[in-house]
Amino acid sequence: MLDRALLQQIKVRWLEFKREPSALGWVVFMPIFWMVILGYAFSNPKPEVYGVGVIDGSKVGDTDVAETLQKSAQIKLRHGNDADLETRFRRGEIALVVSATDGSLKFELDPNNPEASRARFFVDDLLQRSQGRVDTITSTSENRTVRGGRYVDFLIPGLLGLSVMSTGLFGVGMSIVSNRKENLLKRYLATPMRPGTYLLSHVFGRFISLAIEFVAIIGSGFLIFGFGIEGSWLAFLAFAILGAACFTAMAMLAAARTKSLPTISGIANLLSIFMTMSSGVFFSKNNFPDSIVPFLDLIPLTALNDALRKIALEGAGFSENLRELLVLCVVTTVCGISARWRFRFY
Amino acid sequence: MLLVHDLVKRFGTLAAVDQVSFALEAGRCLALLGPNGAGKTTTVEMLEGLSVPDAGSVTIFGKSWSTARHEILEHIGVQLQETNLYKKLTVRETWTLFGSFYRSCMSPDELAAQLQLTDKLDVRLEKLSGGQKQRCYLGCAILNRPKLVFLDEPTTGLDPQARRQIWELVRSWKRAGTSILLTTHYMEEAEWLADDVAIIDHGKIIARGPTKELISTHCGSETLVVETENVEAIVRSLPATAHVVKGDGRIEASFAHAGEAMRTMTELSSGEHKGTVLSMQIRRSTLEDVFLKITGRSIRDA
Repeated sequence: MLDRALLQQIKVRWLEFKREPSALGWVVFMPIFWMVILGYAFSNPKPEVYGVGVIDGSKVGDTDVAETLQKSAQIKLRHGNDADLETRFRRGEIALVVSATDGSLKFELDPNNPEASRARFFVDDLLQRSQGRVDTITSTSENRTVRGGRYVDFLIPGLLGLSVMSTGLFGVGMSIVSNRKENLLKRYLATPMRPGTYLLSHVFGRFISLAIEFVAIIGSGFLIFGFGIEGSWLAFLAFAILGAACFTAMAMLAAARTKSLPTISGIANLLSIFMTMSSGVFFSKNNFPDSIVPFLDLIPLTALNDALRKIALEGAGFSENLRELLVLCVVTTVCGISARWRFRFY
Repeated sequence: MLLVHDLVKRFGTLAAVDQVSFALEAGRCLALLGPNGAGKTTTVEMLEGLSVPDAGSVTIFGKSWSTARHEILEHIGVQLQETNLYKKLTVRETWTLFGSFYRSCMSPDELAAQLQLTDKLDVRLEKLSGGQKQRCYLGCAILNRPKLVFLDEPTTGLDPQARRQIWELVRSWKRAGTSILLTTHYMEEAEWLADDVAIIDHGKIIARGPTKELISTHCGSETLVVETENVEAIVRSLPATAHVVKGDGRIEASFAHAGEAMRTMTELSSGEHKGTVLSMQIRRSTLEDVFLKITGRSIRDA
């Protein structure tokens, strides 16, 4: 299988990648950029701050409401008359409007805004205590964190999955279509090289670029955030390789006949945006309604991210990832075979 | 070496190639000459096995594409029109890549010496001039030491000096015994390189034969060009043996024998038309004249 022509073609894939500085830049620096930005943004969560507006002259008992709220670091206070506060509310500066008449409090808020509901209870509690309310049950809270439980630990496998997908879809798809457009594929057809050799070289070429992005992402995760893999390294690596093969096969199918770069970039964008949105790259897929999660599980990027996370964070191996393994293998096989069957050199 | 019989290729209802037949013998160069859109590339791509004819047959080395594809590909060389190889690769890397497809091939150094690219071997294609790039592509077509080479418009878009350099290369391959099938819309190129010419127009071969013979049978060996204000009167006074093409203020009369053109020129310059003739010259007849005579159009305007 590894004949001279294939080795040469793989070498060309590598040279094409290496000598295109922007390709290397996207593959290596984008995920690290996201990791650093998001990792630091979420690494030390500060207490939530609420925008609260108080109507001038609101008092409960002898205390001025605005004065009491002013003392809390968690409240960004605005006060004014009703019209002023209406404008600030529209601008999103405040989520809650407080007024007090005849010793009773009134809260105005948009019930669809969860932040406003949290602000309401926070402000209510603060004012009630200032008037002497006492808890009937004592309560305490202690910090509980698990290894691998930071947001950045969740983020890194997702970024690796995202990078594996986009390098595959864009890198391989665009390269095939531009080769076809330049009549290069037609030129290959006039040589004794077997057509499958060219396609196979893209798979191996992809593994080379995967090695670079894998080392870049996991390496900087380790150095910057002390990221570690709880489970088997072998399984983690195997899933990354399987993922790369899967998205390469999808890209080949998408690029099997098209001659236009805008078309292939459109298809790759559509696929990658859809999968990024629905696969929980940055946030857990469990934020979606329970009824659609089983469908999301069939998306290859979901399968890849889930498997990488389970291995890295929960110490899982292959046996806990059978569904993910199945999804990736089926998509790879179906896309690979269809791509070979549909593929036209010009 | 190459036998083409009644080849047909249709695109919808249009017959892009219509019953084309010819043969190319070992060690000779045949030019398919015709205007853009005449069906040259469509024909040649069927010969190269890149597309399948709707009817007719192609035999190369006595074999057919359907039964001996791999065998044929191993021993032919191909230069396609409008191909761009990887611009980030060097000449050496490009040839090594293409060389890996064949059972045996020339080394990059050997090729570079032949194609005068020795000092460019390790330069990327994006840094080469048009002529150098074309020679690098030609290297890909001959690195397997093919017995038969297809060149589809090999010098289109090149400057005259680069063109001449490529002509010299092709002539050297021919001397070494390689058979060449060339397509071109440059008359000079066909006359310079080809032993035989097939003129193709609207998908049909309209004339075919050894280059010199083709010119002398259709047009005579010499052409008298007259510029005048009085085209009709002068045409009437020309000998009946002349083949005449009339243009705006211009007459081109071809003669089979050298003496005839000269004699006519003398008569015109001293006779009754003396006053109306602006200029006269005699030139060698070309394939352009053959095309003009058969189709009534110039190959450049077609």
